[in-house]
Amino acid sequence: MKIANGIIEVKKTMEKHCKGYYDLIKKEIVPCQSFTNLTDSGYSQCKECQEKSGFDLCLGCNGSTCQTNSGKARDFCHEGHHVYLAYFANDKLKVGTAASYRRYERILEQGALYSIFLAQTPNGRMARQIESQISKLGIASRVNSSYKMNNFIIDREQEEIDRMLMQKYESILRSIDERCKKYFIKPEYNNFTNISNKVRQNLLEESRQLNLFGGMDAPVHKEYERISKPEYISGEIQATVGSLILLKSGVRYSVVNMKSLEGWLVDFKKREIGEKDNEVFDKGER
Amino acid sequence: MGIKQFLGIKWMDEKPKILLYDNVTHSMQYEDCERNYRSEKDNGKTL
Repeated sequence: MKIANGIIEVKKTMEKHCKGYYDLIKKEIVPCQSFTNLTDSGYSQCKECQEKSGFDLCLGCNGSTCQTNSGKARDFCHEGHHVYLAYFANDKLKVGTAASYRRYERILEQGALYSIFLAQTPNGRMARQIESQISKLGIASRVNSSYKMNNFIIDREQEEIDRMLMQKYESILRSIDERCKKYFIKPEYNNFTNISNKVRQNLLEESRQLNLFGGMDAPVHKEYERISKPEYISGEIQATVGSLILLKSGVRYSVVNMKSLEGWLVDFKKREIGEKDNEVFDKGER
Repeated sequence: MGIKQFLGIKWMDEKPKILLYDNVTHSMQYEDCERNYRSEKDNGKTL
């Protein structure tokens, strides 16, 4: 399979349908059987698919009382889980949980380029209890896409971030109750520095100004457009962070929230760099 | 590629994919959504 080191063009149409659901047991995405039209709805998933996923009542769970009536969700919850602490730009920390089998994908979905797994539990309920306790210490359990778009560039070096995560891990360990503490593990670091570097290479500009001490000023952030609800986008993909993509078109950069396109019918085109416009657009399936 | 339903960006094997659904053929289509930054991940490091 070729790498899409190319240019994409996505044009939203006027039609939105249910995006289906993730089958927790089969571990695959299932399209909506009724292809329910949701154009005039604020949702991207129909009631039927929401129920089929079995996961809707688990949102906001803090591990105290199980709310779900879904066997699928219960089976899923009985799988091993991890609790993570993620770093986002401008020193924002977030605590979250992930089923162990897909923990790396989970943190990548979140756009968490630096994180540690700090606890491993036999089920989701225990993981949620630990998450809830950590969140009570003042650590966010949610970081919205608006924050992620506005804080897209990580200025700190990996070593600084690792140190910050380790310090927070130790401080959490001192505050958490004994019942939860036994699930804590030696922190496992996950550094997607390669992705962070792609963002920096594109959006950081070395300063040419000498400062008063004879050194160079800190690199300057380049301007980029924030597109939270894309109608039409076009450009070369420079990096993907969670559901945000960094596009370059000429000298202009845009950070696009692709999540808001979920469910919409789109006219999607892609071509490899170096190919002419009329040569590849609309060439069909690869 | 024409009109497809956009289902989102999915991370599979730690790589981002654009997931599209064709309601005529009832098939899913995965398009790579990255530049060449694969296999550089530094993970699993413990102190």
